[in-house]
Amino acid sequence: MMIGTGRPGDAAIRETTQAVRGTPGVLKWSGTAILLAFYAGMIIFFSVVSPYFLNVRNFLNIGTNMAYIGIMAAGSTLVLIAGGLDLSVEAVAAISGVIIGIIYRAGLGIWTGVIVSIILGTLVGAANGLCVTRLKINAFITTLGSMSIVRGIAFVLTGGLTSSLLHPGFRFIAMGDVAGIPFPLLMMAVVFALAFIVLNYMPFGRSIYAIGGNAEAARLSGINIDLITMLVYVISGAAAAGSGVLLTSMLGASAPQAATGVALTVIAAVILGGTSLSGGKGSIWGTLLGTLILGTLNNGLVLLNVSSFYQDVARGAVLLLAVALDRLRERGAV
Amino acid sequence: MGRLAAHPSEVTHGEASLPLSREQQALMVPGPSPGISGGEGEMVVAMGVAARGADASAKEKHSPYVLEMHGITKSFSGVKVLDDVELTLRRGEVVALLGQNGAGKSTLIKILNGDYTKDAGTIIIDGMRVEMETPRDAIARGIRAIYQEPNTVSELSVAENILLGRLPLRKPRGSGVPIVDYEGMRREAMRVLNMLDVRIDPDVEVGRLTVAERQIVEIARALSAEAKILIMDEPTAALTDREIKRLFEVVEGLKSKGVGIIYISHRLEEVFRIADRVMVLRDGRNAGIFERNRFTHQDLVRAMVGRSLVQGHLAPARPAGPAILSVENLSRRGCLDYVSFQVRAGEVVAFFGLMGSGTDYLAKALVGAVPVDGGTIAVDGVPVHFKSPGEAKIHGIGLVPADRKTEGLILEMSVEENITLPSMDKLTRGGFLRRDEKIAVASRWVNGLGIRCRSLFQPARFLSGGNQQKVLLAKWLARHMKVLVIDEPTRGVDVGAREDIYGILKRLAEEGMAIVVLSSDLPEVLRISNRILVLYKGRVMAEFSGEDATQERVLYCAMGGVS
Ligand SMILES: Nc1ncnc2c1ncn2[C@@H]1O[C@H](COP(=O)(O)OP(=O)(O)O)[C@@H](O)[C@H]1O
Ligand SMILES: [Mg+2]
Repeated sequence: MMIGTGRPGDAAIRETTQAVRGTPGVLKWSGTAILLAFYAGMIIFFSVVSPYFLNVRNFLNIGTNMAYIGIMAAGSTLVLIAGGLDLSVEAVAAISGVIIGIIYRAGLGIWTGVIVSIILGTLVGAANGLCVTRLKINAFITTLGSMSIVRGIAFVLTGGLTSSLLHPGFRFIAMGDVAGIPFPLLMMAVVFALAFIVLNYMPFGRSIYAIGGNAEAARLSGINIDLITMLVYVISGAAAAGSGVLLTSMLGASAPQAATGVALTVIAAVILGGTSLSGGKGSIWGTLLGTLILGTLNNGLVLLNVSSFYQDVARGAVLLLAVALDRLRERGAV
Repeated sequence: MGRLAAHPSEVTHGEASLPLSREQQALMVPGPSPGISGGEGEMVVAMGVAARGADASAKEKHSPYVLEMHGITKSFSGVKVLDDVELTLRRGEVVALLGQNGAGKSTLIKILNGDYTKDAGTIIIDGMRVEMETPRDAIARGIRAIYQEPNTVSELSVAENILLGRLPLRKPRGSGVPIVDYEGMRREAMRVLNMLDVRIDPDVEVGRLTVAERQIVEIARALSAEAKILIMDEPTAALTDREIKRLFEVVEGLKSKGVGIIYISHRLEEVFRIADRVMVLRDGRNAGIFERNRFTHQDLVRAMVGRSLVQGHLAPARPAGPAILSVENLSRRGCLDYVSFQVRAGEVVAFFGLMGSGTDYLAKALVGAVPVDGGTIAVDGVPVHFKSPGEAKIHGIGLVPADRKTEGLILEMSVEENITLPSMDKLTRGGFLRRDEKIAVASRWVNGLGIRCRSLFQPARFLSGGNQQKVLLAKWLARHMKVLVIDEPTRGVDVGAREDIYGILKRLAEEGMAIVVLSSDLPEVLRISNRILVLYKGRVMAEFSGEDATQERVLYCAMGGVS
């Protein structure tokens, strides 16, 4: 056989092709199935113990409240699959609100503020990416540092004060709805859809998996791993800024301390969704599910009047439980 | 800490104390002497140090050998890797262990070092038969190994590294809590460094030393632990000539202190300089033992090669195409020494080099994966410049790296994705991947190369070594490269897949590709190439055309012999 010139049209080849095809990776559900079951169990539990839990309105609520976490988590999913980590997201979200407030009060218009804050988010992401790729600083250290710097600047700019931000158009982002669907939910849906398309149907997305799976192999395959890593952090920064816009609208104020501690919730949602902390593995659907599980848990516990201290305990326990189940499944399957 | 305070004596007298003489250590082992059990009339010692009675030391004096290995046999999954191998080592003697790649040198050493257990045979140290179950046993019997990559802790000081695992302790006045005795540690480190006559500051962090200095720290560690047998597995591969000279002086010093040394190297000049005897292994068997001054280069090379035939020649038909790849004066300090060569369309050019020869660096330099100090690369007669494999890919050069698991494959990704990874940019429409086209391309190569997998979507991890290697070839074939650089094309691949891969390379060349193979497998190089270039210390030492290359001649050059 002339191996360099065979065309895929050859009947013989086509025949064997069918034999080796099998199921593409995108359709593999086994990892998500256990998480879905877990989520279903949780819904059943809360439905039984709380009469207020199981209705459409409450579920829209859950989604609306979790949207800003979900948007950050979508960005973080790319970062974690690439084998990185981004702790700076929460500070970027906070400074977005601060910037919007300053620009609005300076009379430059609220939407200018929104645009500037998103540009700033991408710049922070670019700075993170540069530190990781050029200076070879570990991602945890890099983003821990930028988190602290950005948060600090947010406090400096505001003198630590929260100021209210009332603008009817801006308020729509958190409170408005389109055909009965809350706007935050739509925002989150768009972000997740984009992330899904990028991760599964674009060379960029597949390169992210390749880098997280084996960076040296990706590099020797001719993938520009520095550029792609850089872009991943830029996207995460932009997503965090967008999330900050939403959060600011929800709060109706720019607050330098907003979203404190949220980075850990975001990472928890991504990990819960089956993305590997060491990179190379993960899916955006998993992250969506992870976000919903954490949001539903919060909501259910609030409905049961459980103290917020216990909510932290429960969130940690669920994270450990779900990840432990996943590990057990993996070990059983392999 | 509480426990330490409660039982200070236990701690100070344990393994962590100052190096004591062997007699002292023997005295301090609590309880009855452990584990002496008779076996076939010979004493089997289960715990080296403690069990040396007067009887044994009397015997010691009679045996001239510090180490004897008899009838060592070892198989891996049914394949005999060592067959009835003998090795002896006298006190204060250097025995060089020579053999081609895969001859079994490392396996023999690992058996001695307790990393592998032998299937049969006996090991006798100081006249006493011993069993090596773990590396700890080996250390306890005074065996130390030094590899090409020093096994030191960069963050600790030289003195701490020398006394690693045996830090001296002391109890400050008035307290029962033992703490590290830094003064004692420095003193001991200075003592052994002086014995070796080297000037290394015992307080400096090992991370700031050169590779050569780290090896000397390891030797000092062995000396401090009163090692009787020192194994050096290609210690000079990463050293400069001056550092090698220094190392040899240290080795001479060790000899005079009665340490027996097993020295593995691929460099004839070193072997001649340092070895008192040379032991050659071939295909897992003894192939000759030579006393100093009683052998020539040719003797050694002939013993290493033996009579093993090179099976059917598989080089492509005589290539007549134009030069596709022209490399001129590619150089890198310490790695590549002005390497120049050309590869024509339809030609397989093989670089043969033993470990440390620089073939691995050359392979990566050809695709811009590692930096070079100078030199030019031209493709189709046009000079090209690239600083990354991504740019090399644009010019039509691709690399199949030597280690498929750590550098070649994305193990969790599917066969299909691995194959199409370098060509994703060509398989898009409007920025989106064309799934069907991707699958079609991957399945064309899976079929074309006969890659056996359950489905295109099976993760590459689950394929056999040979099939993984074919996936790596498919990656570049799917992109229609002009030049394919393949480092160790069949390392760890079964015989069937090996023949397949040779066949594939031949056909690819005959379809007009220029192929560069880098390999340390001598029969392989002779079988598949039109021309052979021999690399030694980063320099092209000789060039052979397919006809005038013999195993002896190629190997001789690769070991630093002048042709
Ligand atoms: N852990 C192992 N499992 C299976 N085969 C092995 C293993 N280690 C070595 N071998 C095989 O044993 C043979 C001898 O290898 P080795 O001792 O490393 O040779 P050398 O060091 O002389 O190059 C080779 O064919 C190698 O593939
Ligand atoms: Mg070896």
